[in-house]
Formats: sequence, structure tokens, C-alpha cells
Amino acid sequence: MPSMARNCIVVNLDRCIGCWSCEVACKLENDVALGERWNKVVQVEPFGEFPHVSTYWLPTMCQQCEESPCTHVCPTGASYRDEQTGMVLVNKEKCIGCKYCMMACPYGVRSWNEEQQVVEKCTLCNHLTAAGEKPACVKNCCGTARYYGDLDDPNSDASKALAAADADAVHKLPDVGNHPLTSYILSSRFGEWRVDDLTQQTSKYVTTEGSVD
Amino acid sequence: MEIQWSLVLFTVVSGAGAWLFASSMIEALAKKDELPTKVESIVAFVLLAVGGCLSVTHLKHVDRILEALNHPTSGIFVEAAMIGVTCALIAIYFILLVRGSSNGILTGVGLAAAVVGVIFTFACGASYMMDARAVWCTPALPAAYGLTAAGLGTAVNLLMKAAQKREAASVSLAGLLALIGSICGLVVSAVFLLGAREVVVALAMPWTVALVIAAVVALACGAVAWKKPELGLALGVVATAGACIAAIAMRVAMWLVGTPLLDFFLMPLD
Repeated sequence: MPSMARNCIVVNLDRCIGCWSCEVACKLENDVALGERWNKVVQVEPFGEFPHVSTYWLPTMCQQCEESPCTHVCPTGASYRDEQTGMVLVNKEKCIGCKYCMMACPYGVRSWNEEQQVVEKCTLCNHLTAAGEKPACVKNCCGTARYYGDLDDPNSDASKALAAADADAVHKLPDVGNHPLTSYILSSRFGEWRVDDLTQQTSKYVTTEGSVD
Repeated sequence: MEIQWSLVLFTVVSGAGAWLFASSMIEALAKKDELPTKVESIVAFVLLAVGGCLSVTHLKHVDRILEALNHPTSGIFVEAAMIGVTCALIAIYFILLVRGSSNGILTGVGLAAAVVGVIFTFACGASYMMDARAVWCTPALPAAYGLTAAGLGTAVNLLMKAAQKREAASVSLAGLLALIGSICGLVVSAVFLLGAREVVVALAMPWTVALVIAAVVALACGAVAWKKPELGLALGVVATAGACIAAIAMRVAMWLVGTPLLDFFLMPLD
């Protein structure tokens, strides 16, 4: 039996300009209602001591965890990992709306569909990728900062982006045993990766040393 | 995060039913009273059933509930299965009691119901042990769920024994069980909340204070009833109220301090 693919998005923060095109493209492509989201760009506020101040934008979405806690806690199997593509998906016909998966997600990147009363999330635009296209957020990224593909395929865009990056510039969100697949590329000349010590303030994130206004 | 009242009340009410039956079984095994009576069995069954119904009120598609049979390793499946088995065993016990079966058979079935029911109260808390919410990811959480339910169930048992005018030795033991139940509930709740004291101080201090006061009231009533069983009825009422508030307060505090590792979308859960 062939092993499960490891499809995911890789984001090059060195190239991200914080334009929110990915958010808008995702909403349009997937008809995501106002107030709901499958993809969100958060700003890690300016930090450091002047003149060595840095900031970056962090596009967030389902991290396609290999040990996905959302699928483990789902009582109905509505949240599952597709055996072929490896994508973490939601079968909305099976969702009973208990929201356990939203509680179990370490990153809070699942969305509640108010109209259908079910949980939703990034599908890696599987309706497009199944037809050989790229996800809407990747296709519409102005800075060409997003890459999609199977990490086990060295010829995928995602694998190539990671191969081209310095090893110390490749980062992941904090891993609590869920093994996220999504990687973020941030070189030290553009900013310091500070996701491990972020404090949340509404939609903005500041480091523990605080924000520089 | 938001308080999930359906789930708070589900575990409190069903936990009271499970521990009421277990307490009554303990009294019978200690030879201080007969096996659980018809009234006690009915009250325990009703509490479990009402608790089970409360749990589904937070679901948005109850019509798809049978889908829950698809994933037997999830916490919700385990809880649903255990509450179902406990109810079934208590129902069988009741039928055997009505038909006048032997004490041996009644003890066997009753013991099975008590054991499954007690494990169920701990399993309810174990479902919340998620790596994504570090404060919840401790064995103290299921212990606090199970033992605050024990505090309430034993207090209801004291009330039931006194209301049924059982013998002094039975009411006295019920008082002792209520005392032990409330002490255990208070201690493990304190261990759980002290593990998250910074968040507790910031987000759940009033509920924590309510938990301590209510648990102390319940254990004091248990202690007095142990020594003065003739006051059992009044003490049972107050102990039940106190243990109920303590069990609710522990669960509310748990929800309030359950912040995730990161919460990028800020999606409310209510």
C-alpha cells in the first residue's frame, strides 16, 4: 500500500508583504462567510530595540499535522486525514457540531460555519489541487511567498522552496506532539522567529518583551 | 475561554447519579445498610439519564448522533458508552430487585453498575486532556472531575438515607462518605487549580473561592452528620447544595482557564 502523501503549504516570510491577498483569495474561492475564516494573516508586532526593530506577517491556516489532534478527538470521524493525499479534511455531512476539534487544535485555526452549524477549515483547495491546480492562496500571492506540494516529492514547489532555504531559516509553529507539516521560512536578516514566546493581543501578537510603537 | 454550560451540567448531574449508586453500594458492602433501594436506583438512573440528555444540548446536529458510533476511541464515544452501560446495569438491577432476586446476584450487578459509573465520572475529565490546552493536560483534571462528582453523589446519598429514615448507623456512614468525598474533591481540585495558579488568579478567582467555600460547607455537614445522624436530613440538604456548587465551580473554573497554545482565528466556542 502506498504511503500517505504529505501535502501542505510552505510560506516564505522573507517574501510576504502582508497584503492579505491570500485571505481574500481563500474567502472568494471557498465562499467563506463574513466573520469566518480558513486562512488569516496575523502581524507579529514590531519588537527589538531601535534601530534593530523587526516585524513580520504570519499567514496562518491548518498546519496539516501528521498526528492531528482534531481527527483523534472527533467522535464521528468527520475530521479525518485523507488516505491518498494526507490532507486533514472535514466531512461536513458527519459533523455533529460538538466543537471538540476546535478545542483540540493547538493553533485555533478551525472555523465555525454559522449557517450550516458545522466546523470547517482549510482544505488546501482540494477541489483545485485534485485537478492539478494550485490552491487559491498560492495562486494569488502577490509576493510569490506561498508554495504548495507534497514534502515527499522533491520536485514539488513546497519541497523546492525548503531545499533552497537555509536550514536555520526554516521554522514551524510550536509542536506539542502534533507534528505540523507547514513550514515558515524566515531569514535572520529579515527578522527573528519569535513564535515560541508570543503573547496574544486580539489579532496582533507581541513578543514577551513587548511591542515597539 | 467560554463556559460550556451544557457540558458542566452534564458531568455534574450524571456524576451525582453514578456516585449516589456507588455510595449506596459501599454502605451495603460495609453492612451498614441494605443494597440500594428502588428509590435510590430510580434517582440514580434519572440523574444519569438527565445528565446524558444535557450533554447533547450543546450539539448542533443531534440528528446525526448515531455517527458518534463511527469513532470508538474518541472521548465522547467512551463517555456515551459508559453512561449507557451504567444506566442499563442499574435498570437490570432494578428489575432484579423488583423480582426479588438473590442478594448475590443483586450485589454482582450493583457492583458492576457502581464500578462502571465511577470510572465514567473520571473519564469525563480525561476527555479534556489535550496537548493544545496545557492547563488541562494533567491527571489532576480527571481526578477533580471524578472526585467532585464523588462529593456530590455522597452528599445526595446522605440526603436519601436520611429522607428514607434509614437506621442511624447507615446515615452516620453516609455522613462519613460525604465528608471523605468532599475532602477528596476539594484536595484534587486545589491541586488542579494550583497547577495553573497564574491563569486562575487572572480568570477564575471568584469561582475558585466559591468552590472552596462550598466544599468546606459540604464536608462540614458530612462531619456533623457522621457524629449526629439524627440531623441527617437538614445536613443532607445543605451538603448536597454545597457539593453541587463546588462541582459546578470546579468545572466553570476549568473552562475559564482553558486557553489554547495559540488562538489565531479567535473563534468563540459558544
